[in-house]
Amino acid sequence: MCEPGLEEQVAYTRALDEANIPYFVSEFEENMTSFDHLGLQLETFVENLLFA
Amino acid sequence: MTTATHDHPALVGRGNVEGAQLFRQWFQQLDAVAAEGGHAAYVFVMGSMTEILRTFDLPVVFPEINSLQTAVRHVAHEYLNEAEDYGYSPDICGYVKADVALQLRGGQHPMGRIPKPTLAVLTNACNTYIKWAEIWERLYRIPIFVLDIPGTRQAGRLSWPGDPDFERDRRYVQGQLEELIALCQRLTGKRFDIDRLREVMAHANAMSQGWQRVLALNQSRPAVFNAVTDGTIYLGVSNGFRGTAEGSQYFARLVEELEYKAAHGIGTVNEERFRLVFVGVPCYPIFRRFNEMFAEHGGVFVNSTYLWFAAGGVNLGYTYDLQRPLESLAEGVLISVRHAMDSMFYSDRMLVELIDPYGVDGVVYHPIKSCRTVSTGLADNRRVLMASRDVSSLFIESDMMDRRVVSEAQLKNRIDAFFEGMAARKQQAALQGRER
Repeated sequence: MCEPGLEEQVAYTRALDEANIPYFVSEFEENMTSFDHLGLQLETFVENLLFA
Repeated sequence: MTTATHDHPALVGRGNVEGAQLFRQWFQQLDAVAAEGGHAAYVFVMGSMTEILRTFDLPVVFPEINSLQTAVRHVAHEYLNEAEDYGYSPDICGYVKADVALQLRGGQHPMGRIPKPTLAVLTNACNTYIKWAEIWERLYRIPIFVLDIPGTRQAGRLSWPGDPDFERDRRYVQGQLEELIALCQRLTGKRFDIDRLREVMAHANAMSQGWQRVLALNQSRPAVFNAVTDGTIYLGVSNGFRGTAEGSQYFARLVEELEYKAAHGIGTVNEERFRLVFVGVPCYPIFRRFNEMFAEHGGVFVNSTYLWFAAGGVNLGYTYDLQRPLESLAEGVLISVRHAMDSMFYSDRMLVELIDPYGVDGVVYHPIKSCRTVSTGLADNRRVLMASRDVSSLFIESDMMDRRVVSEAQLKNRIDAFFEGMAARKQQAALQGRER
């Protein structure tokens, strides 16, 4: 939970969209113990970059 | 809320009617500025710097007030959804999101069109102010001016005029005010007129004294106004009309009304049974109903921390010395904005001191999802209060903007139980009194 980060994220992602640069937004919490889901999302993102 | 009756002259209820009129007038003026494409300054309730901005005839826009108005008018969800579709997280300030949607709609607001900013002025009183203003900076390429106001370093240790620490802080603020004046000169092409500043400050003085008197008058039994409902109207005028003749006249007339009510024992509900203090920001999505859930039990809000911090600390009643306007303005800004911050972060001591003079039966804490700045410390605040005084308290959570996180049924259950507890305490106290 970092509000300034969430506020700036909009500016970053829109700038990346405009420049047509792929990006990956991950969400995690302080007390999270399992990162399998995050790993899967990251893998998908990398595959998209490799095979797009 | 009170209304004029055959037994009482038209001045009873006048403050609410005139407050609503002034509000409409203010938004009509903003609509006209938007239509002409004129200058406007975007400011915030904690340290609006209207004294300087009015000297340059800059109309002031309070985005916090625009946003809360969308909730009161039951359209906030439309604005929030639009901002979330644009990319803003459900976890950030609802006021910011409603404003982003308003900007995306070209200023369209239920009360009129809001002009685009020429300049944004903010203080460090709220962390979100800074990120919020950066959005306008990116959207409109406007200058944003951040005033860094030294806050309280440690609870209970404040410096005051005459103290070398205070003087250092005051000079630091004055330097920043001089920079703001230079920026306003550059943006408007107008020369700074110190006599015009004195005139604006004289109106602000009258308003500050009126605001302090209004709050003090609610020590009357029954309370002469409801701090959550009526108080929000007074607060709107206090912010939107600070430094104007209309604003100072409004408060003079409001004091006249409330003094009349106090002298004649006129309250806000049929039978006032419990005197309450509200801590936090109101639940605007169900504003009227929220208050009804307390009023149905004879509960009246006699004061609130919102009336302190959302008035930018004006409740302290600081009076500017017009013989040394800039020095005194810096002093007043420092004391008032610091007090606004303390009203959020160190309100526990202020609340304890309120219990006796206001005859408080219960304190209602209302942390909200949208604002961690005002909500984070409230659980500790309640613990301190309960350790200091034997007073009932209630901790209910909802939101100031987002109806998706406002559960009316859940709130009502908690509120009903709170009143049952207070009624039992009163009964027990009465029995113990009789036994003695």
